Amino acid sequence: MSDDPIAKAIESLPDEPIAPKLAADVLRKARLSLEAEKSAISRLDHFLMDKLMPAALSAVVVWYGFGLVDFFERTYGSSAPENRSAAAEVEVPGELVEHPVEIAVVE
Amino acid sequence: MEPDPLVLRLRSRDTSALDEVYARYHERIFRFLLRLSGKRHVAEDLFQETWLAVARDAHGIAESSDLSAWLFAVARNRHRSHRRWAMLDVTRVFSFASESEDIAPSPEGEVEARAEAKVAREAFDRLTPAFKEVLLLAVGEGLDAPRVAEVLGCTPEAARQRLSRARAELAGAIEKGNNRGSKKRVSS
Repeated sequence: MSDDPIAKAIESLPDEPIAPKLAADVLRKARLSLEAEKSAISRLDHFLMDKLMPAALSAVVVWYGFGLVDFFERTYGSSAPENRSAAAEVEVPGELVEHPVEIAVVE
Repeated sequence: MEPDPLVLRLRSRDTSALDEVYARYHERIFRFLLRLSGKRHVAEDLFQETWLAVARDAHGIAESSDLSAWLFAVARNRHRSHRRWAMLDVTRVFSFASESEDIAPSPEGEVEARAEAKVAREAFDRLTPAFKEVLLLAVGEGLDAPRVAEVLGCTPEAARQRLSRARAELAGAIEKGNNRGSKKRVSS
């Protein structure tokens, strides 16, 4: 036995073995489950759930993302002037435009 | 690192590999679950769920995985899942709270059990599940820090720190229990 009090404490915890009947029963069920996993239907199920479904979901997300970008472009981008720099030079009547002011210095 | 041949065979759903893994690990997995849950019937249910999950997910184990760490991770996840459901199930709240008190006495009987061991068990029962897990894996099952980290899903450094805190917590609780016991003996 170890001198470490923590190891002693852990060793003192219950360590009853599993009932042999239960152990055999669990192994039998696990083997049956593994055998079932080998079947073609199970493999197809794994292919659908592990490979095809994530791929399909990813494709839908990407497609939806492109659609969303397209929607925003159409909705908010269509009213914007084609040439922003040209539009900026157009002076709209009544709009406040800053002009350089000359200040005369009076002596 | 060379992949474990047993892992490769398990990945290819080889039933003889399952037999070999079961023979090698079933006692350790049961002990881990029994000590973690503190209730024999819960440990038995979780043990069965663990091995069914192993059979179901055998194809998904990574080639580079450490088999013992993977198995303990499956068992730990089953226990965590059980705890979550137990907390949601109001009718089981009280039984869940007293789970650790339901361990059947050893064949020798609780009377013959040493006082120190009893104190240690009570101290262990008061620990949080996270501390229990790390102590059982590192001290009880002798897994090294990288393996413990793989089971717990954290870095080896975090596992070491958690183990250190768990050891300190358990040592403190044992000391407190011993002091209480000696006071009782003096007063009686």
